[in-house]
Formats: sequence, structure tokens, C-alpha cells
Amino acid sequence: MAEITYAQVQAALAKLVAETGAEVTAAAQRRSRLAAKATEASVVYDRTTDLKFDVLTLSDVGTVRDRLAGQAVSAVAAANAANDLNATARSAAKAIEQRHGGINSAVASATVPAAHESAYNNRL
Amino acid sequence: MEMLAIFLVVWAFGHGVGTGSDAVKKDHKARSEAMDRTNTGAKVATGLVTGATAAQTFVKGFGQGWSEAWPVRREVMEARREARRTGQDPGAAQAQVINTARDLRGQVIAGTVVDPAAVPVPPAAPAPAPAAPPTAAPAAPAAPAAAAPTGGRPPLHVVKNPPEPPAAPTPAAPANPAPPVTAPAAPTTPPPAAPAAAPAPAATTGGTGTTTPAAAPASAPAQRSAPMAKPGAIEVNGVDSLIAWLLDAVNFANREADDATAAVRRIGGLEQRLDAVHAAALASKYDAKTLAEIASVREQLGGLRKSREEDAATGRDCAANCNTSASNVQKRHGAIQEAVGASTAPMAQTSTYGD
Repeated sequence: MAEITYAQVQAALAKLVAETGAEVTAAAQRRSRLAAKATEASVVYDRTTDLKFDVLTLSDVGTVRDRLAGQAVSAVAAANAANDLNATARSAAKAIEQRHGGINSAVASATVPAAHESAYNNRL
Repeated sequence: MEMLAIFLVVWAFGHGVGTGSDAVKKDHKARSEAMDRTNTGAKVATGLVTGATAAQTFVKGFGQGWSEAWPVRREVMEARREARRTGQDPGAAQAQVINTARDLRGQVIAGTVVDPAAVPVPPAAPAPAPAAPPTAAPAAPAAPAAAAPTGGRPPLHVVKNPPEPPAAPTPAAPANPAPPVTAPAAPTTPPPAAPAAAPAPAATTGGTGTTTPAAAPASAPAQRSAPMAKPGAIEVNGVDSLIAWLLDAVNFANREADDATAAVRRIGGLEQRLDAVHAAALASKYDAKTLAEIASVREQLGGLRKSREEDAATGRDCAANCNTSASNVQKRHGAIQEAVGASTAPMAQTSTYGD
């Protein structure tokens, strides 16, 4: 008995595709949230400048603004990474199906059990 | 002779009246006998029920129409008043509100909007245009400091369409240009389930980037004491609102850090499962390409996990920075704010004091 069957591999990859798709959605939403917050922080910094706050306070608010901007940039990177991961999982599932799906169907529809794999792999 | 003639006329008139009266009585009697007097009560009750039903239908329809039409009408009136105040075209504002309500109704009819409460109350009327040049409109707030001159900035509450985030942190530059964002494609899978509740965050790691990273004083407000406001909901126009915004940013950053921590946990579980699949496929002597593809997915999972771990760490740092900044503002300006609040007169020019 094999350690894992073809159907189990495909099921695991299908589940992975679904779950990474959920990560894509979550990352995109987070990216939007952080973009809005970073823009808001930039506006707040300008407002504090207009109100002529002292240099130290302006520096503090500027640091907060820069932190949020950095988070927004990293959120974009994370969203892209999640997107790439989902695409890779999809392509892997598709490629494995192309490679082993036909063999699986042929073995399943045969009237006798398949012989040892070397009987088929040793080609002329 | 004359008397005889008068008598004859009176007699003829009386006889005619009597004959006519008899004929009418006879006819009425015949009609009364022919009338169907059975089930009179049921007939009266049926009429009453029919009338009551019609009245109820009319009243119900009237109430429903009123409840749908009046909120829209009220929005229209507010929009017209606002447009008149800001010098815009009231007709255009009215048309916009009506179109919005119609669109919402159409969406509900089409089934794309589930909440029927969205029908009678359309979104808020168009925000009044601030007294600012068109370049400072909220449609392009990506570089507000660069685009808007001093004093011509739109208020915070009009930031509705979040643009791309500012660029990487450059403390020397007050305005951040938009970064080279590569927006991810729209997801094709269903949205995720609600993430698992994240554990309470540990103590913040400290404001590494704050210029005065002094410890928060005892009077500093506690973190995460209030629910997070919507972006732009707090308009900063003074010390109090600045502190409120910073504390809201603390909440925001902590929630983002919690979100990242939960994502790290989820991705770790995916990695473990994929490791098991890879090991089993290796034992089952799958071909090298298949194994390499599974390994590639596993590697990218690790990359995403590291990215979210960094997110969690930067979120904690950001929360610490916001908290320290709020404490600093309170420490520097809180006493002045309290003195101004306790005074019976407004503050004069700043240069008047502290000489």
C-alpha cells in the first residue's frame, strides 16, 4: 500500500488551494485597511504641522506616520506573496493531475489489478 | 255658482291625492313582499368586513410608502441645503441622492443587497466641498502634503477612497510619494472563515523609532481602551483629538498585529500538512517533478509565514510608537490644554505667554 494515494495528494492540494485563496482575500483586505490608515496618518501629520506643534511632537507623529506607511508597504508585499502562493498551489495541482491523473483513471478502470510499477516503467 | 266650482275643484284634487296615495302604498307593499329579507345580518357583516379590509390595505400601503419615501426625501432636502450652502447645484445633488436610492432599490430587487434596511436610507448626501482648490480634493490624497498648500487641505472625514499607501519610511521627508504598488489580483476563492481569536498581545516591544522613547507616565491612557474608529473618523484639530487619534492608531496597530499572528498560526498548520504530504509522496516514489512542485509550494508557504511574522512584529512596534507618542503629547501639551479649558477666556496668541 502506498504511503499516499494520488487521490489523497490531489485532495490535499485542493484544500491547500482553497485555504491559500482565503489568505489572498484576507491579505488584500488588510492591504486596503493599511493603505487607508497610512494615508490618514499622512494627513494627520500635515494637520499637526499646520497647528504648529513643537518639533518633538511633530517628530513623534512623523514616526507613527512612517511606521504605518512601512506596514502598508509590507502589506502589499504580503498580499503579493499570498497571491503567488495561491497561483503556485493551483499550478502544482494541475501539473500533478496532468502527470498522474491519466494513469490513475486507467488503473481504476482496468479489470485486473495493476502489476508492479517497474512492469510499466521499463519501456523498450 | 262660484262656490260649486270651488267645491268641485277641491273634491277633484282630494280624490286625486287619495288615489295616488293608495297606488303608492300598494306598490310599496308589493315591493316589500318581493324583497329578500333572509341573511340580512350576514350581508351587513360582509359589507363591513369588506370596507374594513379596504381601509386597512389603504392605511398599510400609505404607511409603507411614507416610510420609504420620507427618508429619501429628507436626504434630498439635506443634500439640496448642503449644496446651496456650498454654492453647488442643488438639482445635481438631488439627482445624485435619488439615483443612489434607486440603485439601492434595484440591488435589493436583484438580490445583490440582502439588507432591506439599506433601501430607505441611501448613503449620505454628497459631502460639502471644502474651501480648497481642486488639487486638494480627497480623490487624490496619496501625497496630500505635496499636493495641497497650507490651509487648503480637506478635512479628515472626507477620506473615503483609500489610495495607495505612502512610500517607505523617510523621516526627513514630510510627504511620502506613492510606492510602486503591485496590486494583487482579485481573489477567486471564497472569503476566509473568521480567523481564530488571537491571544492577547504581549507587552509592546518599545518605541524604537520614537524620538523621546520615555516610559509612558502613569496618567497616560491605557491601550485598547476604546473601539477602533473608522479611517478618517477622528478629525485632528487640537491636542485632544491628536491624542485620540494616536490611541486609535494603537488599537489599529494592535489589531493588525493580532491578525498577522493568527495568520502565522494558520500558515504554520498548512506547512505541517504539506510537509506530511511531501514525505508520503516521497515514500510512495512519486516522480521528481511532482516532489519538486510540492516542495515549491512548501517553500512559498514559508515565505508568506515569514512575511506575516514581520508584519506582527512591526504592528507591535507601531502600537508601541503610537502609545509613546500619545503619552508624549499628553505630557507636553496636556497641562496647557487643561489650563486653557479651565480658563474663562480663550487663549490669546501663543507668543503672549511664557515670557
